[in-house]
Amino acid sequence: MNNRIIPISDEWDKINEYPEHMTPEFRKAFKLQDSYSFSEKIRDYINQKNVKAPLILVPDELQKYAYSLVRKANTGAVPEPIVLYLYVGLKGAQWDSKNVHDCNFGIVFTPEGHPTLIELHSPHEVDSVVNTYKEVVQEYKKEFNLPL
Amino acid sequence: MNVIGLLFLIITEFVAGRALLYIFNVKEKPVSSFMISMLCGILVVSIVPFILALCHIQLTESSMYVSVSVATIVLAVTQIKKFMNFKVDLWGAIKSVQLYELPVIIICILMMGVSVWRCFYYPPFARDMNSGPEAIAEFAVREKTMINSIFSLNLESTNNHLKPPFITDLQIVYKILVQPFGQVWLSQIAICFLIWIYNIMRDKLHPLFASMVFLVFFTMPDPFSYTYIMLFDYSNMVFYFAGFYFIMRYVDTKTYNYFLFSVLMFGFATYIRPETLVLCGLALPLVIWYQWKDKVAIPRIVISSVIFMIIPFIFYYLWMGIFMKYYMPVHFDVADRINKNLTDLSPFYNRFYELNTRILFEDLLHDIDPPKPPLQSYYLNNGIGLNIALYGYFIYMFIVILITDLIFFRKKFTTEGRIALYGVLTVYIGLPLLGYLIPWVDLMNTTKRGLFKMFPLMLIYMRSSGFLIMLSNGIRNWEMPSLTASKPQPVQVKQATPKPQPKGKK
Repeated sequence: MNNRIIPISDEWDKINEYPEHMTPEFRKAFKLQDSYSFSEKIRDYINQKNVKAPLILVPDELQKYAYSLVRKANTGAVPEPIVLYLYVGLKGAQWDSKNVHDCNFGIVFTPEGHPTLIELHSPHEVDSVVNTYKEVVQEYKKEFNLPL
Repeated sequence: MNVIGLLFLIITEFVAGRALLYIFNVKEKPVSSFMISMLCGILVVSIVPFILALCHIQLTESSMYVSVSVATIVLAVTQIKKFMNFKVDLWGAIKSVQLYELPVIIICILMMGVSVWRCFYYPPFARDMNSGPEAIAEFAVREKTMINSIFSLNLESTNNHLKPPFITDLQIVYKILVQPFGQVWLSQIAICFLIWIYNIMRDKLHPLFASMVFLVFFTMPDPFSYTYIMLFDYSNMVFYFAGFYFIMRYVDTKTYNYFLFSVLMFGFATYIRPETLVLCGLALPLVIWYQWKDKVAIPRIVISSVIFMIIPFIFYYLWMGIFMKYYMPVHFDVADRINKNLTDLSPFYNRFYELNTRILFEDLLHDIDPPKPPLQSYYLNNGIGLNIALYGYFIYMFIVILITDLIFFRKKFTTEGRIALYGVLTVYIGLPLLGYLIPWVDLMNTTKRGLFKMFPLMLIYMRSSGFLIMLSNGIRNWEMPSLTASKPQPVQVKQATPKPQPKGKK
């Protein structure tokens, strides 16, 4: 019971602070955290670059799961295409999307596991990122003895 | 937040729902009637944008106000005479609250306060919502049509945009008329349901026991969290329970309109989650059995059975057969999702086994077949079973009460209790069956939350439990011995009077 009641009493304590933060933008950033702030960063970066039809390559759910287990990456911050569009109005694609070779940006992970946005200039570069995603899935399957 | 928009919706929902109750001649106690009216009204409102979309009418503030008003007026006009005599004795209901219920009521109000606040303050954050209904609703509001730019995206990562329009529609209405995140309707559903079910419990049990078992039910962590996390399962649970409750009322009163109303409730539950149709099929033998027992003519049993399945099917078909096929720009065929090898029953047994070992009794059975890496045992990681973390001790409380009844109060099993137990069984068997029929019905999401449908049925079983009724009567005798001692007297009078009455009349 304590686990249920105590967090709620904390919430009542915070209630005086809430009226100062009533804008939808603040509430979204507050609750959606990493995935929303990362999406906003992507939008800001692309706006700076002034790209007309940005399309962002993102890993799919299995690839993200593999990254989180094998590379300990912070995959929770990476939104799927529909969520990216909901948050900031940018379109995304996955490796199995028809227009995957139109991607001009892609999300990769740093060795420390942080997601980062890179520019993609050719279908060859797109394939290279997709292959990286697939390699991590293979590593994950090997590590856990799953059928390849 | 647009308070006027919210008030408009609350009033129209109540009127529309109340009209439905009048149409079906459903008579409940004042508080219960009020709450059921609100629940039904929310369902009526949820269908409005769906119809506007089919008619290619733009989703704007004015079209919402007009269409919700028209839907309410159309329903209310048919029952105008009954509305003229409408009275709400809420004061009587408030006065009936006993002092010893207050601690539980206060705890529930405080917790619901937090739930309502979270529901209002937070944006929708469940992945299944943001990758489907919420995204469609958000862009429907911006672009004034349900077929919006969401369908121009790459949607390989999700199937949530194919889910029924219940949440999408309510989100559209509430985003346009109430606040940017919508969602407030979920608090309305949760509050109305909880007040309704508590009142049902109080009808038979002493308020002290009613409030105690209700508190254990209410504080189940997972179902409580879904009073503010927007998903389909909580609303589905409410209407599935309502279906069984009105079957109980039908069997109790033998009044056919209760049967029809229960079918409507199952229809609403199917509208929220189409796979509920399978569970309705499992509930059908119950209806046939009680009609057979009541010596209803076989043709009428057949007609009732057809009605029982056809109404939920119409709700299912409205979405899958009409809206998805002729309106939505994406192709979806249910046949693609159904298990192709139905002769192999092993998926059913496996799912049933996992349901018990990984969820329902994980604290007891975690050693039997621990999950293989990368999956991990919740018990080993956290030191308590997943079942306790999700549902508290409610399931064990139910089992203890049920076993006590089976051992000591077997002769006091009521029809209502049997129906509730049958309802629990439909979910317990039905969810593994769904996992077998539709492979994408997974264990840790769909099945886990599908179990919610069991809990109100377990709770309502407790109000007819011989054990709890004995305790309730014990307390009542202790509280007011004079009243309970004088109770047999009117019975004696009733028994004595029938003989002279006919003579007098003659």
